[in-house]
Amino acid sequence: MRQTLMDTDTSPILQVQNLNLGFNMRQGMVNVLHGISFDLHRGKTTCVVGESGSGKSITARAILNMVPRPGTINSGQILFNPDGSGQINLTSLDPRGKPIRKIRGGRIGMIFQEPMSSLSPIHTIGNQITEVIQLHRNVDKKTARQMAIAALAQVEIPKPEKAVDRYAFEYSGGMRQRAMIAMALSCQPDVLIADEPTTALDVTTQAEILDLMKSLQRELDTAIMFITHDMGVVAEIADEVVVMEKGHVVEKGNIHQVYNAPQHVYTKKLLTAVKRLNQPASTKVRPCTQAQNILQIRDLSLRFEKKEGFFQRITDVTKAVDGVSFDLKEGESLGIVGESGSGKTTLGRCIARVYDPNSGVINYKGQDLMQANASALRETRKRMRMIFQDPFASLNPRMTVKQIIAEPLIINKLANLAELEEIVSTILSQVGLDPNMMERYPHAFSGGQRQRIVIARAIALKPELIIADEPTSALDVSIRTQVLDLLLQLQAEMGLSFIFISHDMAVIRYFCDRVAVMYRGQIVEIGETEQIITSPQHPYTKALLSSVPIPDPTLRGTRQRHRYEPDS
Amino acid sequence: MSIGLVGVVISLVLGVTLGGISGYFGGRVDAVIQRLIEFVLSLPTIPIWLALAASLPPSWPIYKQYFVITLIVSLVGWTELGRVVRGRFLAMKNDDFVVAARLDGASESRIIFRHMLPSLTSHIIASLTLAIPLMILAETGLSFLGFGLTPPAISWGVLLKEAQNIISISQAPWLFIPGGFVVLAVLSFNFLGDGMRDAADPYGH
Repeated sequence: MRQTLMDTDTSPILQVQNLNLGFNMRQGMVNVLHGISFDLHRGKTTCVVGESGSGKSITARAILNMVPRPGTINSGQILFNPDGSGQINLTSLDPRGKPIRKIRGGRIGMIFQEPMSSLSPIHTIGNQITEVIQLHRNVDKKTARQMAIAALAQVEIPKPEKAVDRYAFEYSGGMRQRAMIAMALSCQPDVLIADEPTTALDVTTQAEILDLMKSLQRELDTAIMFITHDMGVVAEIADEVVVMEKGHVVEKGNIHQVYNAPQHVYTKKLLTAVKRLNQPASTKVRPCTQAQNILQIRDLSLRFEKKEGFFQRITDVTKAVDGVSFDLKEGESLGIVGESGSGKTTLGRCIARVYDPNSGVINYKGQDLMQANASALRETRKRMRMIFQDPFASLNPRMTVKQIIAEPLIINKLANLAELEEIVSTILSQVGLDPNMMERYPHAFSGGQRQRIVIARAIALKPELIIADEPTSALDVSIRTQVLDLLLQLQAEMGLSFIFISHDMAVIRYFCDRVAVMYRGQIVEIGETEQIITSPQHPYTKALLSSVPIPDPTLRGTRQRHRYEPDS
Repeated sequence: MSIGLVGVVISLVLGVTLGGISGYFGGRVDAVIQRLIEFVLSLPTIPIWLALAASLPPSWPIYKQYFVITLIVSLVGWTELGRVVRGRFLAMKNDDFVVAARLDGASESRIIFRHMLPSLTSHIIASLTLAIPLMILAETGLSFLGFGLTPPAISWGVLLKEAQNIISISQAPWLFIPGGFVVLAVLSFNFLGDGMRDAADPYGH
């Protein structure tokens, strides 16, 4: 019955036609969307792909007629046709009026990127879902509550009768996103807009959420508009793809068509960036076989103790790093992979002695850093540098690029003021930045450029070892490969060793010689990267690998998902 | 006026140093300084000013008296800034760029003054320019009540004292004019503060 309905029902449920949107600034109208058009169909997933700033999220907001000030829709229409009887032009409705409010949440649901901030911290999950139901359905409180419990059960939240009375902070990140989906789907909307719903989640959780959305779509026959920048996710779930660049739709079409025969340069660029990340880098310099160990970690542990009460009694102990041991050779890159909370960042910071580990040995070229005093530590830190995850937080906004890069040189008295300018400009050109930009402040640079500045600061002291903590996870895919290539090139030039912390298996595969898989503070598996990827031994590694999206739509559904639930 | 500025500077130095130390080092130091701030905050300000001002020997020259009054005002007035600076330092000390500075081998004082304090510039400028009108108002208030400056010294508070009763205002409404100047001066300083804060903001341009 439904099948025949779907076959005959070819008219799109939502059409965006020639939409122009701009921000009315003091300098005049700044156009953000330049006449974009695309359709959403019932039961199909349309992925809107593009890098940050390409206008994906603002399109989603325009559909709900919730364009933030000073944005205005200048021309074009968004036609919503829920039951085939008549079209409603959403752009012509009053943004505060009753008709659009009936559609928002009722007929068109939305899921946001950050499950932490999109749920209210002061209401129970149940209250938030029942509110949506009562706003759009003519039901009493008791029925609404039953419906909320049913909605939570539908998104596979365990014990929904209990979970309905919990608060958002009692949920994990993945659970929150499930609750968000339950809320968006509670009124059985015709269209679901998902704005990067899995970007803030771990790969394993992402895989579960994607599976869930797929099965719910099959059940409810919803049209999904899925905004993402991850081509792997697109390959996993999309039926149709819309590629956006700088406010233009540069390409749209069927998923197989876009993946196998991309027309536009930009789509090709995005796809090559993803495909290159699916194999080891061709330019990688392997460490020589007789290389000495530069770093030996033995039984490193760090506990965080939660103290309570007047006597500071220890009430809870978290083992962030729990007896970790590994070796690192000169010129080698060791990847550390794991989900958030696995202790990988803490491990990196323990090695640099940002945190003080409780016990263990950090043997750096024969010197135990655990026993090192302040001045010895300062000496070592000249040769062991760090690259941080967020290029926005790791650069002081009040210092110019020149000051930032010169800072370690000045502190360690490695350069006098006269030479400084020259040294900084050499380093800047080494990382591929224009030396003329050294007087600017960090906010004048894009994310990728900022990460180059962070790298420049790290190599300024000519180090031997770099601890890179998720250096590419805040960057767009195409820039990601550029930064990785830069690191590879620097490694070849300077003979650097890397400890490369990441949650992204593709990036690790591209960059690292060996990889250590971390789970709850312990290394569960360590070995050659290719070997781990092709034949993982530990069940957690298997689960992790099976969750990584395959960037090839033809292979969709060929892989069996593993789940790892240790009994603890 | 210049004496008022001295008072503001004392408040600023006290607030930034104690707040900064409290936020950066944390732990026991933090606890001690915070209790000190709470103690100072719990003092009822106006009676204290009154008592202290009244206890000044009348034989002192008027400007010396005024200087001591501003000193008293500033010794009580640093706490708000101290709290804010502490909060910002607490939040900032685990920021990546501060960790990066530590890994660069920078000393603690260099981290505090070179890396962390500049982020507070705009806030400090704003609170500075807001503190000056507060000083003016405090002095005006004290003089108005008759405990600050007394004639023959001239200040807005002294002039306004003449306007204390209804009858004199109804007969000579111009006595109220100094009040207008107080408002004007205070507003101007606020606007100056806004402008300076925008100018110090690297994101603004």
